[in-house]
Amino acid sequence: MKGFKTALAGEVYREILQIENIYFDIFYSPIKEEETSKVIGVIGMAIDVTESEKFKASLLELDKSKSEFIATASHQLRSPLANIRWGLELLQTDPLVLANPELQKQVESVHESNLKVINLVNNLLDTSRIYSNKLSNRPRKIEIIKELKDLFKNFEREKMRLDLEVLWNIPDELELKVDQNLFKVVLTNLTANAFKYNKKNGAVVVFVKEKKNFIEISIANTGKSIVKDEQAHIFEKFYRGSNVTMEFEGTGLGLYIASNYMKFLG
Amino acid sequence: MLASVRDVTDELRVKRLLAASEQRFRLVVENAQAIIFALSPDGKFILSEGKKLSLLGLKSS
Repeated sequence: MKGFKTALAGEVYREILQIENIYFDIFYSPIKEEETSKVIGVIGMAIDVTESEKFKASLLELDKSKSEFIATASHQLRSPLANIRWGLELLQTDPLVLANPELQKQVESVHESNLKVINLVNNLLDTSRIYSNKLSNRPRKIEIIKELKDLFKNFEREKMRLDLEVLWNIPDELELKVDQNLFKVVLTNLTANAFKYNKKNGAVVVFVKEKKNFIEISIANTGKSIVKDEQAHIFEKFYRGSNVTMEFEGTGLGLYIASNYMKFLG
Repeated sequence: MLASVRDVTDELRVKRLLAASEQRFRLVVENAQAIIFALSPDGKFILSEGKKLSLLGLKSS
């Protein structure tokens, strides 16, 4: 009925209609009188798209099962991975380990691998939340500078690895009303990139400024720039720049998650 | 005897052209693997054609 009415009003309309077990892709167009352009009827064409619609439905079902599997698996992996992390951190302070440099190196290496897996699992979980629309927005006032300073403490290891300098160009205090969990993920992913794709003796520059209707936060680094033609793609899922070499492990999910969370936060 | 002679060559040619055009149109719409329909402004079907009408148990009108 909507198709008929729309076409009668002079517009073209398209819809997928199910009649019993058959799906039709229907186009409705107005029939206009040549001289006056007055609509004198409606012409339509219905194409049988049952097979492609059924295929689409089965793909969507498959995709849903896949997303559910990823969400469940990543969720289940989180607790044991956190346990391993605590155990390893405890081990790092054990006198026996501290007395043996070789052992210390090995524990350190396992700890680093563990952190990489935790990061990967978090990325998968964040992605599956975006995919299944399971994000919730609970805005509350947060102190943005404190958040950033706390966040940067988690990157001490990366900072030391490349002898990086962190330059702060920020006000003393700044409040923002936002969902803390989601916003933290955004900041974490941006900061992680700034540290990871940097160069030896480089810097990470944090810039925060209150503007008229928004707050500008920039986390820049001194690493390789993203190739200009590729800049439009950086927020796509699994996208990784062509100049990213094998030494930088990653999933290509960080900026995808960050941009989706920001869109969700409005 | 009075006879009237009228040249109908053009008339016949136009008729033949119209019939051919109508035939072409029929061939296209009747054999389309779709349903082609037209409705009047009050929602009445003024045309329904196409091979896929059989899916709905209908015949062309």
